[in-house]
Amino acid sequence: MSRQFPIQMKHAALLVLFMACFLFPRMSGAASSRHEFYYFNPDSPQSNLGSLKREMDAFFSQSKFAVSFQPFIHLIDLERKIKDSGPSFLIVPQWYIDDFGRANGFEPIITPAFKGAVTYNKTLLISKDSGIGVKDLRNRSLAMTSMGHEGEKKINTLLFPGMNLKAETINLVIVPKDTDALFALALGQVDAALVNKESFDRINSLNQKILQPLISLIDSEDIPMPVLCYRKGAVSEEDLKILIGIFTDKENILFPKKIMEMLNIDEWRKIQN
Amino acid sequence: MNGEKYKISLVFWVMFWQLFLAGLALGDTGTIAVLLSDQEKVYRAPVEIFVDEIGMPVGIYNLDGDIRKAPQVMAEIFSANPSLIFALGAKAAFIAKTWTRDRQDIPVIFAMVLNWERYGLLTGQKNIAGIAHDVALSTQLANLTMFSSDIQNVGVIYSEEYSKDSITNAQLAAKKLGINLISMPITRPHDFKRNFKQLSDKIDAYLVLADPVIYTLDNISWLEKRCVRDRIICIGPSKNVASQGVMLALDPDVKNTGSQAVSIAKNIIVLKKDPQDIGVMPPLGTRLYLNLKTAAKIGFEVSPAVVDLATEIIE
Repeated sequence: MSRQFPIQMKHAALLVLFMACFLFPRMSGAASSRHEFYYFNPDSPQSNLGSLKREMDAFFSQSKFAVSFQPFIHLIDLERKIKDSGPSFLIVPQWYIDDFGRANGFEPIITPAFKGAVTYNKTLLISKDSGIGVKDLRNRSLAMTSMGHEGEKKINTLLFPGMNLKAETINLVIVPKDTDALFALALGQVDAALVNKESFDRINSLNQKILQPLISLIDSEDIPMPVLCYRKGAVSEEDLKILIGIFTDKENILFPKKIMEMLNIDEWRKIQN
Repeated sequence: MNGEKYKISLVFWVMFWQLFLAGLALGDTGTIAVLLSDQEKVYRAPVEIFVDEIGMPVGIYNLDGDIRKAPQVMAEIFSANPSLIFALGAKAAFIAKTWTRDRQDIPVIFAMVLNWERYGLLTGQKNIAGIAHDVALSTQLANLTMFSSDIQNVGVIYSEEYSKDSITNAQLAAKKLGINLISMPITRPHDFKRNFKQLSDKIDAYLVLADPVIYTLDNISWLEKRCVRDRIICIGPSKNVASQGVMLALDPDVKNTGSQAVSIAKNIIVLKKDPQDIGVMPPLGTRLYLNLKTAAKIGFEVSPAVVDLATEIIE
């Protein structure tokens, strides 16, 4: 009899400990429903994703909205993570949403804007000395950031509509960021580079000498800004409302200016469906 | 009626030739063989990206660190009639080169081979192209010049044995970038400090080479302190040197090596470019590390725009 009592006490203690581990976080209001928020934007002039993560973490913490923010450099890592743990929110290029996002339950809700525009443009650059024209790009190398698995089709639409030139005849060299493409061209490692015009302007403002030998052949068609999406079924109406509020509420101006500058935007707008 | 028969016959022959030619084209895009030197984790990411992006069937083979396995592994590879071999690591690159000496119809792309020049990978064969392991000195110089337009004179100490060609290429790049590269050759590691002292008051920045004669623990430890003392911006070839105190470092984005290999493979298979004409490319995807603590010690003010360009800040 006396032996059973300590065993029962031990079991009761374990049970209480187990319940405490489970209940206490809920009682304290901590993030049992912590949203995963992924970011992938290869066209961004912002390469310092560590700084971006720090700022976004601080922003969400101040907003008391439980989010784990994770930026990605490589598409393959984003795709693997989405497959493994399906985030609640994404900021990704429009082409990602069109190619995969909607099919996987993601719906755009907010778009950034810069100086009133919800689109941006890329520019196709060559070396002035090369004498290359658009028609000469066939069989030449073009450095650019990822546009997904069907990048050639997108390039054809964005750069060569109505032209007798197909991206499939160009040697596309994918690089992680625009500065890699710009330097590769400036140093003669590739024949052409396709970069966000903003990236070009930023590098040029730091050192004009590097990019002085380059000229723009053509600008792309308008490209929609990367969009903020939510995953249907993963986010409550209430949380969705809160997120939209903290991003777009101009009265409170909650969204930090510093992050806006990092992302090269000046406002967030709700997407009207 | 004869006219009708003629038209049907013509349509038949046109379709036949189109199918025949399509068959020929498909025959050109056979399996690609990925040959790994061993089980090193560092190969996984570039292989994964390569397989994901190439859009052609891929077979993966491994020497498991043992060159004696080469006959068996290469027999398997050849039996699959590969359209290309992508070899990662020195062993795989060397084996792929050796075993395609009499099969130069099979192109070989190598990557992740430290000091690839030592293995004579391009010598005597026309079917080899590759991606160098180290970021080109020209790319390091270009990244360096983003930090300050005041950087006019950049110093570098090197050994002729290991770095002569790199320095020649770097001189050409420096000219393009409008900077003056002051280079000093040495033959022995312990000549480094003396030569650096001679160089330091002539330069605004210094290029740390991954040269076996220069790159010793003693030299790098000494250099970190000396650069702070002399207020010289240094740029090195790996994250480690930045972590240890060098202000800047630039190394290859290893994952992107897979993407770059895809581009070379497609250039050869689809666009029919000769591997000889491609040669060995530098890695184009890079990661830039900035040590803010060292920048502060040197008294170098780093603008927010420049901080945004760094891949990683070391504080």
